Amino acid sequence: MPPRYELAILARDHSVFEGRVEHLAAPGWDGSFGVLARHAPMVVQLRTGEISVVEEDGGRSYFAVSGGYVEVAWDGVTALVDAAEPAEEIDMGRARAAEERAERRLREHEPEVDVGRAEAALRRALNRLRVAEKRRREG
Amino acid sequence: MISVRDVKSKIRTVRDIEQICRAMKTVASIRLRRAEEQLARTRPYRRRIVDLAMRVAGASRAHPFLQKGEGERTGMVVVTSDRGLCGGYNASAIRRAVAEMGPEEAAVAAVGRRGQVQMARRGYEIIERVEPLGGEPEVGRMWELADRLGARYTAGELARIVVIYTHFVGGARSEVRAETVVPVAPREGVLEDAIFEPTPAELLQGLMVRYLRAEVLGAVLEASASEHTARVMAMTSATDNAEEMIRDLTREYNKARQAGITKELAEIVGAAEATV
Repeated sequence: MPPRYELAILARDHSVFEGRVEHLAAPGWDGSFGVLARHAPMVVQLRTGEISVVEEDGGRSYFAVSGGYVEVAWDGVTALVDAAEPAEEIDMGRARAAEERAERRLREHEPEVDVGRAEAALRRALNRLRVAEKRRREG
Repeated sequence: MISVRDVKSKIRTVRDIEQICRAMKTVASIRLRRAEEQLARTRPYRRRIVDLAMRVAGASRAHPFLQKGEGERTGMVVVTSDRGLCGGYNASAIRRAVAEMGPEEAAVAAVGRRGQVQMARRGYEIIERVEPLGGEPEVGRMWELADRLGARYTAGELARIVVIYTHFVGGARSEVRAETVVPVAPREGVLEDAIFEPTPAELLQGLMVRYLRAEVLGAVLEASASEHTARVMAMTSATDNAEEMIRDLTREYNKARQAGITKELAEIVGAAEATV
């Protein structure tokens, strides 16, 4: 039996996940990384992407996250994320609408459009779609 | 002797007041429950992000929030409510703020109408304001306030950022606190051997923004729960007082009514005796 550790994924206004896990994969600043039990202490900034978790019973969970931090300590791992959505709760219609809105903003590019913000919104929408679709395929 | 009609109208007035107090109490208890929930829901993230920011700060000082402020005055966030009828809630916070620093030492960021009005009257310059605060503080507005204060500190306008708010203890107790949130007190020697990605200095850029947002939001949420507690208590005692007044007035009414009857009887008896 592989060793397990305590994981908490906390968004700013609610707890997204709490439990014992075998493995965590997250979108780190310099690329994706994985954490098994007894990983050395580490603080990593996250990019927009997917966190995937292999739970104690072998079950898998996926979350679309946008930004935040993962702290690996000897006694457990904490992810402090700006926003997180479990893959199965992502509303594809809404995500697609957000994607189109952001794309239109970037295309039309009116002077008052904040390009950085529109790009970030587009990235978040695409990420949510990707996470939701992947989950559905594995369904 | 007070007339029966006067007593009756007085009773009616007090009963109206009692009903208003009772309604306000109900509203305040609903808001209190919501505030407590919001406080509990956001607490784990706030605690951990503040803690993480302080520990990473132990590994690098490369952020303005970790340097001594260059301004002359302290930015003093004073959290109060928009409206009164909540006992000594606002008065205690304002008293504490005034005791903490004078108008020449502090510039005020007022959250809530009462504090803004009272601090301005006492000669403090109001550099930021969030009012009306409303029944439920909006997260976005508190973050913006935190970002604006952070920018002022970074620009060298402020010496420190201090938050004055009423901590939510639960039950009937409340406690006004004054906390220095910037410059940040780093926690050293905790993350000495940790791996950082990107570097601690780069991590601090985003962490410090989130740190200050969490501190400001936390103080306002604590204060909001305390405000609703204070209002529930104030309205409970007002309702009790009104009930007691109604009891006294009802006795008065009965006495006045009885006196009237006795007088009438005496007159009848008197008149009867005269005619016999």
